[in-house]
Amino acid sequence: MTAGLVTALALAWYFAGPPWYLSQTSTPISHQEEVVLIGLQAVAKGYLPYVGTASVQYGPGTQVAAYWLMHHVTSFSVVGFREAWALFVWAGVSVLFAVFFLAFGYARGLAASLLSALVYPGLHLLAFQPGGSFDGYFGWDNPLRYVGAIALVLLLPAVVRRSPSWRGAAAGAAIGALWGLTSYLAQENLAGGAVGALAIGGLLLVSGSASWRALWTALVAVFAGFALIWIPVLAFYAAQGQLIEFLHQYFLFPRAVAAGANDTPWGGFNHTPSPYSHLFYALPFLLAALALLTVFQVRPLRIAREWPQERVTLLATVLATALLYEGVLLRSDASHLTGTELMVPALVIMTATVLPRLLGVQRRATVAVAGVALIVASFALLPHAAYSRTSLRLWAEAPYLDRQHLAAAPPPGKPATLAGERVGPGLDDATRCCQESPVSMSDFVRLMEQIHTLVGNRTAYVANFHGQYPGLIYFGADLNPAPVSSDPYSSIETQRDLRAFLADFRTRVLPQTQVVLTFTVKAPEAQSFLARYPNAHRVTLHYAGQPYYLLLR
Amino acid sequence: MPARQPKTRELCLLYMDTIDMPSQSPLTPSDGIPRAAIGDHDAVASAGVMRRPTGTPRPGPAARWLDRALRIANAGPRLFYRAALGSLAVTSALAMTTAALIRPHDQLPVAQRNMIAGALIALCLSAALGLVSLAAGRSRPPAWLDRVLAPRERAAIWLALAAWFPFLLLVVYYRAKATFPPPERYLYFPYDDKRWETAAYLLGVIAPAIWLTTAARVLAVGRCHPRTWRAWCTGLFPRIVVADPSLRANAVRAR
Repeated sequence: MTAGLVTALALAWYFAGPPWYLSQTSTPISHQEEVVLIGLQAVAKGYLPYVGTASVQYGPGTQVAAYWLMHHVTSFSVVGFREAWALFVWAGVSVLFAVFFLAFGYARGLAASLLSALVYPGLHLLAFQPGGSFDGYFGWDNPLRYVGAIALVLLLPAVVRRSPSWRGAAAGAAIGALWGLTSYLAQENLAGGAVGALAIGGLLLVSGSASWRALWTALVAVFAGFALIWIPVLAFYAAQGQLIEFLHQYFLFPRAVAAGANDTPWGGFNHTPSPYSHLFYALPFLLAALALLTVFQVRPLRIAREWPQERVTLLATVLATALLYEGVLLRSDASHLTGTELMVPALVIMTATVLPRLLGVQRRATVAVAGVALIVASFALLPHAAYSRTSLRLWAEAPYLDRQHLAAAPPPGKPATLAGERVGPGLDDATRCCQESPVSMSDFVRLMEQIHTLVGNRTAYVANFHGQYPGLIYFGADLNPAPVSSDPYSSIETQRDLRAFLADFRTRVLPQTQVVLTFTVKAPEAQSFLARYPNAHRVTLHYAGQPYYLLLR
Repeated sequence: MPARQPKTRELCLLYMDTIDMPSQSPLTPSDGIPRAAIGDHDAVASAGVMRRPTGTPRPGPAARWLDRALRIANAGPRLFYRAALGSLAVTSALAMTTAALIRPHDQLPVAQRNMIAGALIALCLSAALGLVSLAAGRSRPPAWLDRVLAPRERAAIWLALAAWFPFLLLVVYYRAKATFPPPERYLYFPYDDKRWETAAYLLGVIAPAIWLTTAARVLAVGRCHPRTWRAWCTGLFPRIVVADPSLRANAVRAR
C-alpha cells in the first residue's frame, strides 16, 4: 500500500505538481475566471464568503480555499488565483491516483493512472501542454469536483469489509471526511457520493457480500467523517444568521440544472462536432451491459451471490463511472465529460483484468489475450489522435520539457501599478487581456488603474462591461462592491429572480451605492441610480474604442 | 462437489445464516469470537446464534398470504413470467393514460403520440405472450433452457422485470412534462428538461443490477420458508456473511 501511495503521489506531482511558472502563462483572463473573481474581491472587502455579494454558483469551499491560498500562499492577483487553482488540480490528481492504487492494487492502479494522464483527456483540460506551459480551463476544470464521489464509491467496499472494527471505523471516517471536504469544495461530490454509497451498500447487502452490521457501522463512520467537516461550516453560517441563504446558494445551481436550466443536447444547441461523440453515445450502453454482466456468474449461469472482492471492485467502478456520466446527460458537451473521463481509464483497466475471469475464462493466456483485446477495443471510443504514439510521447514529455524551458526564461518584473499587481507579474504585459477581447493587457491595466483612481474606496456597483463579466472590473480595479443580494451574472437564473434582485437593488442597495459603472446608461441599475441621484457626475472612459461610464453621486 | 449438494439445504443455509440470529454475537473477526464454519448449519446453530426454521406459522390472514407467497416463491419461474407480463401490461396501460393526460393544453405532441404507440405495442405484446403462456398450460419448458439458466434464476429475472417495468412510468411522466413550455424564463441559457433522459439512464444502467440481485435474494430467502413476513424481510439483510465465497465451497467439499 505504501509503495502504491508513493507512486501515486509521485505521478501526480510529475503530471500536475509545481513548479508551474504561471507568471509565464500569458493566456487571456477567461470568462470562467471573471465569474469567480467577484466573490474573491467581495471576501477581501469583508463580505461573508459564498452568500450575498460574494455568491458564486460553484462550491463554497473552493472560494474560501482559493481566497486563503491567494492571501497566504500565492498572491491576490489573477496569477495568484491561477496558482491556487493549480494547487487544487494537483491535490485532485493526487487523490484520484491514490484512490486508484488503493482500490485496484499496484499494477492496475498504475495502469489506470497512466491511462488517465496520457490518453484520456480528463486531465488534459488544465495541464502542462505539449510545447507550452501549465495552461487550460482555470476557474472551472478541477478534479476535486469529482474525486470525493469517486473515492467514496471505490473505497467503501474495503471499509465495509473491515467493519465493524477500529480500522474499518477509522478508514470510514477518513473517507467520509474526504467526501465531506470535497462536497464543501464542489456540489458534484455530494449527490454522486450519496447515491453511489447507497447503491453499492445496498448491492453488497442483498448479494450477501456484506452483513447488515458491517455495512451499517461503515456508513455511520463515513457519515461521522462527513459531519466532522460540515458541522463547523453550517454552525458558522448559522451563527451569522445566514444558514438558509448558504443552503439556498449551495443547492441553487444543482437544482436548476436537474430541472432543465442550462441543459443542452450533445455539442450544445448548435451541435458543435466533438471527437468524443463516440464516448458520449456508446458509454451508457457499455455501462448497462457491464453492470449486468457483473451481477451474473457463469458455469453455471446464475445471479451471483456472496461476491468476491474483484467482482465488488468492478461493480463499484462501473457505478462510479455511471454516476459521473449522469451529469453529462444534463449539460452535454466535451468539457462536462471531464468527470466521466476521470473514471473511464479505471473502468477500462478493471474490465480488462476482471471481467474475463468473471465470465468463466480460466486459462491464464486466454485471460491475458481477452484483457488486451478489451483495452484495445476501448480505444474505439476515442479519436485516433488520443492514443497515437506521438500524442502519448508528447503528453508524457510535456511536464518535464515545459518546466525545463519555463525555468530558463527570466523572471518577470514586479508590476508598477495596483491594477498591474491585481493582474499579476508576467501576465500584466500579455498581448490580450481577456477572452474574446482585442484589447492588450497593458491597455486594460491602464483602464483599471483609472477606474481605481476615480472610484477609490467608494461603494461601487458594476452593472456590466464590454464583453466581460463585472467580476473582472471589481477585482482588476480593486473596487469595494455594493452589498447586493447576489451576483446577477452567476447566481440569478430566471427573469423572476432578476426582477426581485432589481427591486432589492432599488430599495436597499442603491442608498448604499456611490458609483455605478456601465457601458450604457440604459442599464436598469444605471437608470435607477440616475433617477435617485439626478445630479450624479458622469465620467466617460474608453475600452476597445467604446465608451465606459462611471456614474458618481 | 458443490453442484451435487441438495438445493434446499444450500439455500436454507443461506437463509439461516441471515435471519434467525439474535442481536448479539456478531461473529466478526474483530470481536474475538471465532467465525462459524462456513455453511455449517449445525455449528452455527449450536453456537446459539440462530434457530432452525421450525414450527408452524400462526394462523390468520397474514400467515395465509405468507403461505401463498412462499408457494409461489417455490413454484418456479412460470408464475413470475406471468407476473412480469402482467406488470408490463399494467405499465403500458398506465403509460398510455399518463401520456394522454399530461400534455400541453389543446395539443398532443409527437412525444406523447410516440409513447402511446409504444405502450400500445407493449400492451399487445404482453397480451399475446400471456395468452400463449395460458395456452401452454403446465407443459414443461425445453430441457436446454434449464441447462442454460436454472429455473430459480429465471424466476429471479422475471421477478426483477416485474418490479422494474412500473418504474418506466417515471420516464413516461418526465418525457410528457418535457413537452410543456419552461416554467420560468431563464436568462442566460436555453431550457431543456432532460429529467426523462436521466431517469431512463438510471433505470437502464444502475437499476437492473440492483433489481436482479434483490430479486434473487428475495426468492432465495423465500425458498427457505421464513415463518413470518418480518423474517422474510430481515432475511434480505444478512447479519453475518461468508468472508470469502471460496471458503464456502471448501467447507461443502469437506463434508
